[in-house]
Amino acid sequence: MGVLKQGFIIFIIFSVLTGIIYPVFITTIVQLVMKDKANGSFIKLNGRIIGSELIGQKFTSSKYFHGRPSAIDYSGNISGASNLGPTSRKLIELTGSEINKVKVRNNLAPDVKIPADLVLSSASGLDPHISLQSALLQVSRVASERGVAREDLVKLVVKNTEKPQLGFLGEERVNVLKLNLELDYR
Amino acid sequence: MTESKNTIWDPALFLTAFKDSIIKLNPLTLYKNPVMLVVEIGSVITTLVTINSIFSGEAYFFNFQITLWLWFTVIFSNFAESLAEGRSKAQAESLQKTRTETVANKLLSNGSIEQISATSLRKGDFVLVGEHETIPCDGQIVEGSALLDESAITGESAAVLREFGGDKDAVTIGTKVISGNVKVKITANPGDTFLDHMIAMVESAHRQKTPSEVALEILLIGLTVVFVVVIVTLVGFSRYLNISIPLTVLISLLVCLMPTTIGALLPAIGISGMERLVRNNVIAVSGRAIEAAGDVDVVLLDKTGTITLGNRIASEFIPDDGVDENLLAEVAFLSSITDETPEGRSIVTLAKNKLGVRGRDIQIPEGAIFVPFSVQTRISGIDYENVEIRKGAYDAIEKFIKERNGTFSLKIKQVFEMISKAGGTPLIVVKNNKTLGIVYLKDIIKEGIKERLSQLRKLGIKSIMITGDNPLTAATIARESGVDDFVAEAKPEMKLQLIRDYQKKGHLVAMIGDGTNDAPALAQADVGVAMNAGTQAAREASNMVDLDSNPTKLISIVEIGKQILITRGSLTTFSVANDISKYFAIVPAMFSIQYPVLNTLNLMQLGTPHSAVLSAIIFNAIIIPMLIPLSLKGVEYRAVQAEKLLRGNMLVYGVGGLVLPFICIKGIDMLLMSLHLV
Amino acid sequence: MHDSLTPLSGFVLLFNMCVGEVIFGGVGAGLITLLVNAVLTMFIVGLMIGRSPEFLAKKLEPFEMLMAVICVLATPMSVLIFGCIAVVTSTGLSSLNNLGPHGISEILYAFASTSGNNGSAFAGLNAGTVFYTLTTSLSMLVGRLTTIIPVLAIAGSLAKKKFVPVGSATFTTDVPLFVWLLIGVVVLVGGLTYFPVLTLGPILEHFFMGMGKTF
Repeated sequence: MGVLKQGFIIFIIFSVLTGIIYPVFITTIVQLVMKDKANGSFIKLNGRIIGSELIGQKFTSSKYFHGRPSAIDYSGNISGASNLGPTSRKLIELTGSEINKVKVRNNLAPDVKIPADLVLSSASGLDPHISLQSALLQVSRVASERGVAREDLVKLVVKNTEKPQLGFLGEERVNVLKLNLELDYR
Repeated sequence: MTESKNTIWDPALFLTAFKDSIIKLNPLTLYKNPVMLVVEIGSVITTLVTINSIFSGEAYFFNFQITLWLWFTVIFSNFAESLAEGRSKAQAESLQKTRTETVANKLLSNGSIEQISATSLRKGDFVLVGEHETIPCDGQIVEGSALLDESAITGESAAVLREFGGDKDAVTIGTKVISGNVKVKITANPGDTFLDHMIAMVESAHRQKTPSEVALEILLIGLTVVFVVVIVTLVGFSRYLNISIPLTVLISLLVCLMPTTIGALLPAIGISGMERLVRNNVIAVSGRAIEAAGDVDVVLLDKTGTITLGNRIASEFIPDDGVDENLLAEVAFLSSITDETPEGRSIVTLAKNKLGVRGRDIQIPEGAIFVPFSVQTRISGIDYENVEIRKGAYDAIEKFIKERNGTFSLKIKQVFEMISKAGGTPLIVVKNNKTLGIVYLKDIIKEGIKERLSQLRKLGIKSIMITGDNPLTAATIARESGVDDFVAEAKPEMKLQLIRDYQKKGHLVAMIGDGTNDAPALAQADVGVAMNAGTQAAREASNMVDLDSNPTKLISIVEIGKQILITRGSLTTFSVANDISKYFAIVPAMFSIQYPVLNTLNLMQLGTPHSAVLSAIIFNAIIIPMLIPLSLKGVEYRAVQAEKLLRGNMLVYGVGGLVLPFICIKGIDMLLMSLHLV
Repeated sequence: MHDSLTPLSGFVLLFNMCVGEVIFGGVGAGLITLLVNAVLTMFIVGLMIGRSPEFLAKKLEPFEMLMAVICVLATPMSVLIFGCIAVVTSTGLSSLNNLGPHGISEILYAFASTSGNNGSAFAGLNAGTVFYTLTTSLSMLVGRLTTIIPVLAIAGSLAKKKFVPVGSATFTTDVPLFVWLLIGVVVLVGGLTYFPVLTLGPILEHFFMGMGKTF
């Protein structure tokens, strides 16, 4: 009986500790210290939430920069990847057609090398970033569609480039949603 | 039980062991060794496959060779066990020979004597044993004394004295009375005697498995079960990739992966451990006791007989003021001349040395009356004419002298103090009411005991000396002999309490004893070693009996206990470490026919898939007989720090077990290829 | 998403789960396996220094050994048996997103993750079918119960035992040598059980990737 009682008391204590005290404590702290980040890093336009810095969105119009392919078609309520391994024939085919698509869309010569991130889907399917190279590759198309100077767009892209974290984690990258917002509202 | 009988390479033993190992192929007996049973089942299957391939006209040579080596694996395992058993049985048989049919003179309650067969004696019977007769059953002398030839049991040819009373009343079945007549109370039923225990112990059928042996078997069986699952499921996984693996190759992989080396040698290690113990003339009642011996960390030693020679020896005559030393020696000599105690005899010897040739001339005065030592007076001596000569302990003599209006001089008191402080025993010698001086009796520390004790310390065992002496004496002897601790002025019941105290703290306590009053403590100790020369009560209470009655035998017992464990552990590590190389031999061989790219894993560059499998299985089989000598002799135990010992053993059996098979399998493969066997 | 990893990266993830998640991944369960592996290590260590084995100053006897063996070996058995069933049945294979050796990795990962209290997935495998729902839940039951029950049994049995004082002949677990031995036992026990099937999965796939072979 003693063991049961002990077990029950520990169960109650830990339920309260981990189920109530800990979440309340953490929530209070983050809401005080980093409210914006804790709530999802939303991007607002005229008071309306139009997206999150952390979630990629699908852009199809030629007037915008395009993000990475997504295995879930940027469906925000799930996340997922192609789940195709390196020896998958399907993956090779899929990637080949993506490369073609990018080349046709951007009017590139057949022998141009395309950055991998622009033709391979991300692990979550919701990557908000593309590499700097992938963004620069699209500058000519967007510039001609919008009728703006190519140099201005390059400057805009460079301005929106995020450095690697702590200087060495990851690569230089561009947030597609933020870049496209600047295109429309600068 | 001589050494020459125990060589491993005895051809006769070999032959019986070989026959035995074939008989042991019977699955009904092999089930006790599950690892080997699985190998045997595998062998049967490959045999059927081979027969089938012969009749269906397929290539059968490879299958045939695999089958052959699988059977060899089982036979080698049986052989190891049989060889160990054979060695033990040889010992048991030589013991059995001593148990010839004897006739016992049973003493009936009406006082008459009936001659009956020894086998019909029962516990509690009384028998008379005369000169040149054999002791019919284990017992205890209740009357008389006798010189016994115990060589049949101990291998020691010198006759030993057994007598009623005191600490030497036990007699053992099979020993012969050389002289004297004794009345013996039978303490064991036939079939339950000492000898029976001994024989049972060396025969594996009655061998109890020790806890860690059982635990190890659980691990080995667990591994075997898992490997069976690995192999069976591998069939499914490889079929998915269109790889079909021949049944013989699958079974080969299974046998290679299973811990066959240790599985084959495990019984042999246990049996030969027992046998080593018996060869050291120690009989253990249970295997558990041997294992406990390896764990003992506190040992209680009686001072007398263990640390010091049983008896004190006179080393000096110290005369009182104004007394000639020679006079003291002469008087002391007279007082001891009929004293048959070892102390008395040592006084005579010392006095003779002191007085030179003159010692022989000392005549015992006419009409002298000897006063023997008695418990009441605690003094002894001689009376002649009007002279009373006495010797004895301080307080006893003080009482004696007071009655005769004498007193101790200052010198006597000083010398007494001095000797006591030095750990000696002063015997005061008086003539009438005048003190003549003091005989200095010294405890003589046994030769080599210091080294033995320091060896114990290296084994991590704390030694505690128990003595009835005063603390001063005890401290001196403790210091000189190097024991870690001592208990002075100990009464027999204190031993029991001491053991309990240590056990309460979690220590495992070993105790060596011989007296009847040691029996409760021997029973309480985790390892109780009784001297064969001791009392029957002590023998019954203990879980080990040392036939040589050598108290330092404990060190050998501890080492044998540890050796058994180390041998098991080392061979287990070796066996499991071997698996790595066998994987690199067989796995590429299995898959590279379908997927040649996997030949990259063929680190050893073995010739062909067939030669790879065969090399691995041959290595797996012949490593067993190669390790038989090691498992029979045991891995050497070094008394070093645990971590150092572990590092050493891991290097040899762990790293060695990892590397050696790579070399051997490659070697066997090259041999097979050059002989065109595959 | 782990599905898209290169074969050797996937191999590392798989291997880490297979050895009982003693490094990362199993919240709580990793510690259990590590402790039980320590029990196995100390058993061998005890034998090799000639003392009846002890761990944390308590003697290890057949009961602890039996529980430790169940705890360490039941999980691989569940992974292999369920994996094998999946790989030989058409229902099992129909959920695959990748074929060839990668298919083995996918299935193995599913059962290693469920048995090992992990929760991650080579997400390509469609586990939403009746077959996988049943088999993965069974393997979860096996993985949890055969880990938690034996380890509690060991704890209870050790708690009841006498404390063995540490002496000069005791091997203590606070030395580097113990750490190496523990790693050795973890890798060896895990490696020996999974090596053949991992050869057919990630390792073969690795070679195929180099050759450019696709499925």
